[in-house]
Amino acid sequence: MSQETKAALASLDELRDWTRKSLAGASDPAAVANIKAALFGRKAGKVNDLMKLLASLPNEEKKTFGQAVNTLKDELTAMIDAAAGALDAAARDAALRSRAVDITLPGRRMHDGHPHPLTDTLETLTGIFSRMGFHVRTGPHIEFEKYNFDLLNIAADHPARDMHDTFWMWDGVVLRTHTSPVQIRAMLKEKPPLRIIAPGAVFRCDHDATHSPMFHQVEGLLVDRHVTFADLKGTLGVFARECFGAATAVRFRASYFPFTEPSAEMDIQCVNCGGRGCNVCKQTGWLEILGCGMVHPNVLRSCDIDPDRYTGFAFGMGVERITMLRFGVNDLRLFFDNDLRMLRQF
Amino acid sequence: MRVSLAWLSEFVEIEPSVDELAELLTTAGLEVEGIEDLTAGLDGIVVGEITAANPHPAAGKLKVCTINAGGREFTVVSGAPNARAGIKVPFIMAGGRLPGGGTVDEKEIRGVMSSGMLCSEKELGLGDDHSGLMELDGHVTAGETLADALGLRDFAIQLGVTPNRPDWLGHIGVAREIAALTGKSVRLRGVEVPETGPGIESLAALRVDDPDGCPWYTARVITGVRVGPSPGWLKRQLRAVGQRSVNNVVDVTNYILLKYGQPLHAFDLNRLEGGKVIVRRAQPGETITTLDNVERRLDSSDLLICNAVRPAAIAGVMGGADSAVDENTTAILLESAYFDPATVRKTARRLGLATEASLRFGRGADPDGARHALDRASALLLELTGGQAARGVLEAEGLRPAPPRIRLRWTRATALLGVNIEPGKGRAHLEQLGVRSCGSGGDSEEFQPPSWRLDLQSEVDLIEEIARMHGYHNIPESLPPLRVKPDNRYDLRALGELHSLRTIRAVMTRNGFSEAIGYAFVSPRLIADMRLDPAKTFPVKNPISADLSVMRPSIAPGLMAAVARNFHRGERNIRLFEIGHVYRPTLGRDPAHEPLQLAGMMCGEAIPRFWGEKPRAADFFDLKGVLEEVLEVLRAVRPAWKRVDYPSLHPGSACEVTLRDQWNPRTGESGLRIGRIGELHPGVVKAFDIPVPVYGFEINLDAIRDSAGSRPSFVAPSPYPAVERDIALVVDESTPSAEVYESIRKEAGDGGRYIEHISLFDVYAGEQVPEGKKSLAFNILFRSRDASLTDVEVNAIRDRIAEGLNRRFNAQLRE
Repeated sequence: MSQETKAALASLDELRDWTRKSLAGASDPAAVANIKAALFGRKAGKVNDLMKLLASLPNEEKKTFGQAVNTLKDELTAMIDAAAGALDAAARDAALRSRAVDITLPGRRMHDGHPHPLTDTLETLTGIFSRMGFHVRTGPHIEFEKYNFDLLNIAADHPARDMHDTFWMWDGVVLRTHTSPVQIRAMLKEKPPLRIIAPGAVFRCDHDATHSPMFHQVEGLLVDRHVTFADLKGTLGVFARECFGAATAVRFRASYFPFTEPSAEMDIQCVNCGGRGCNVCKQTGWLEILGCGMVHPNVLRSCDIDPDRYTGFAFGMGVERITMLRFGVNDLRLFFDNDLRMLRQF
Repeated sequence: MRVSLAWLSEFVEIEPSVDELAELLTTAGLEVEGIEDLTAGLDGIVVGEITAANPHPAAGKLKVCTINAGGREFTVVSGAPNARAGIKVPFIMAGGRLPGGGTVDEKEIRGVMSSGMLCSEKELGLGDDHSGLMELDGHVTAGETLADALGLRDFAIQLGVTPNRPDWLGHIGVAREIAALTGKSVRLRGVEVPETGPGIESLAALRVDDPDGCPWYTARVITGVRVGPSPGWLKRQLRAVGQRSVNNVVDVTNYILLKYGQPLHAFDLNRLEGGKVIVRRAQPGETITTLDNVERRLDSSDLLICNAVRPAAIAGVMGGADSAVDENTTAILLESAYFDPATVRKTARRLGLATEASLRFGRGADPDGARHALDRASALLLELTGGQAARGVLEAEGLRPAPPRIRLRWTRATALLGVNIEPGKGRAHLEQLGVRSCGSGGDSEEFQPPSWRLDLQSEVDLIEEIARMHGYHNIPESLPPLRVKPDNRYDLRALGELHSLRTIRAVMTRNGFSEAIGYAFVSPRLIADMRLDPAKTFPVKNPISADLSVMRPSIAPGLMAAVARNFHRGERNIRLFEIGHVYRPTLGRDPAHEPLQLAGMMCGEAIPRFWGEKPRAADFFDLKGVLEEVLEVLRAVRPAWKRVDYPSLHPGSACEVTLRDQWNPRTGESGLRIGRIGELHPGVVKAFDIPVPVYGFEINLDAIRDSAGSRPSFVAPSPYPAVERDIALVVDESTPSAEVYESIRKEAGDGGRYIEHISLFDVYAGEQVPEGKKSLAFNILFRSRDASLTDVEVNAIRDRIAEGLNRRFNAQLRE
């Protein structure tokens, strides 16, 4: 390659360097426009000046140089466009920034609404048993004495009636004192195998810090062939561990309900102190959670189910009590006062 | 039932600690509700021996005593007259506390440092004697704790006794349970009553007219009785279980009651007219003044103990005032009987008289226990009152309940409990409880419970006893096989209910409503304040208070009260909803009709106050939008909104909501009413003292659920573009917009099938609109399923609609 061509190609590199440096120093679109004019201006454009060199080169090298100039032209154009684009974008951003909002201002909301904590517990409890195949059943609040008591093995002069402070509506009709009549209704209507769960309101004639005239229970009943007390322990153990945590210890104590035999009460290890003893568990380390037992043969018989063919277990728990334990609510009456300051916390 | 551990120990050897015992009893079904250390107050009080007692150098009445408290010596100044060398007395060293709470400090008394206190009986709460120091028996050891020295170490245990176990209402019954659980046996002494008096028949006579109510009656007569205070041991025994000492006679009957669970009654024989005891039912109109000085009107079902002329006691419940033992009594007739539990329960319940006696007789005393208790009490009375027992016993015996023979199948026990019960082990468990085996045959065995366990009546009762003795904790956990039927037989409602309730809750809470739960009963005043018809409520027969005395016919009153409570606590934006039952006359088999309803109420601003925007008070349409959304998620299609008059609601916005595609099952008319919505009547709001408008609705979810379409039916979206047209027209101000809205589709004729959506986007009255008129502006979206619609086609439909509306409503099209 001739000396002339080498020199001419070197001047291309110089021009590229000049452009790069100039653009780097350009701080506004006008400066970029000036550089563009200096390069491509029709009269004094540096690129046009390069083309003048062409004449002095040997013919066989003209083509090489020409291609090099064209490549450089494209390169320079791209550099200028990029520089102009960057400046434009910066200018746009600067303009947008000048319209910034105070992003720490609060967002626009709808009023906040909250479900009742008892609903939360009811859903949790029925959810756990639903997953174990229990079907939801309901029954009326204003209930026949027969369903609330007699068919549950609590005859009219049974001492266990004293355990229930009953609201009476009229002769033979009460406000149900527990959800157990739903058991009766289910057994009279359906035949085993039966797995039902019955959530709902119940009523007792008693009112103070630890008793509400209305409260809620969840009742469960399972009747099938070969159901045992061990099955009762297993099923309620699963429930306790799902409701209160996988490590929850349970214990079953003997107890008495007229409609189950053997009867038991299930305690869980105190959720507050982990069993060491505290005020919540009255220093016992245990919390009473539910009453349960094997369905009494008399109850099965009164619902036309042969106790020699079928056995079953039933259980019932207080929704308020469990809610108090879950959330640390300390006064039963708060559940029915509907104070928004309370409801907003759930 | 409160028992004393020391007392229990008289009947059974108790090896476990009191805490272990509590655990044992609780898991066996006799729940320990509390334990009280009866000697807690005596902590730090020890036996001190006075080794020297010298006169105080500066005060003649005081003595300076040297005390040996088990190897340590103290100097104590005492003013007690009996302070002398050689006696042992209760001693509290300086820094200790008196049972009453006062502290004992080291202090200088007239120049001598006294570093403790010597105590009298009264100062320790152990008696009433304050005349001098309490002198202890010589055999106690200096330095030992006073509680141990006096054998006072005791715990009171509070027991929760279930109604099936009346035997646990006496110490011996509890001792039997402890014995069974710990493999011990119960120690019981026999008793003999020295009968030194005259023959009883010369003093009293017995006649039982009602052997069903009173299957067994026994009585002794004791003469020469001196009524007076009880000895210290008896007072202490009673105090340990929380009973007040009255006098020796009353205390003995209480003592026997608490020991055996057998109630006794002592009559003053001289006030028992004619010396006669007649057991009979009351006659109509008869009355008795009971021990508590209340005159009781009796009923022919009440069982009485009468003298020759009138009632002397209500059998098994309470004695009469005029035959009661008092300080002048010299002869008593002591009754020990077995009364029919149902009779006693009925009377006690009717009279509201829950006594220690009625509790035990009502649940069933030991039918074989009356005589032994009578003799034990009589022997004790002779000892304490110095009286003489008459020879013989008044006794009348009818048919007492006897324990049944029960056949137990061992395979059944195993099948029910889920753990293998070996006959040998099961039998041993039962025998521990006093249940006797009467012989076995094949797989089964016959058993007979003891007389105090009449709660054991059937096979399953025995199985429960075996399980208790086996220990519930020794039964494994297992899971029953999952045999589940598809839940579509009859109560899909319940399942659907849960699902749709969840949906409703979601709609309500996202619209800012919090969930309330109100009582099912409300006060009649609240009903009146809401202007509801009080005749439509059910009263509760025995309400807890007037505030909670009628079953609610509607959720609204209780919810309104909750709104008011929140308002008066300072809340200004209140949105509450409740899903719950209301109570109506029955429609079917059940005692009442209890539809499930949803109610919502709100007051305050439409949205939370937001910077940079003007607040807007919520109004009818904010609430209506919420209700529309609820109906939509419930797929309650085509609701109709009709203006009505309703006492609770503002006449300008009272609105009835019906589902027009349904019909009323009772009247057969089309359009099923599901509820109401509106602004609450200003008079109602004022009754609740709220100074701002309140809006509310209440709907019957059962009606909706029964009639709502359950499943969406899908229509594929059209691929062709939509064309929009706006139509603004001027109509009479009184024309309901919904009528115009619904006419649009009708007036479109064939073109109606292209109308995809109509929205009312402007309502205007004022300038440019004539007086008495309003302008309604609709946006209509046209789209075909088959092709792109042309402007010409769409304009033709629009014109048809405009002409039709003009005809129907005299509506002028606005440009």
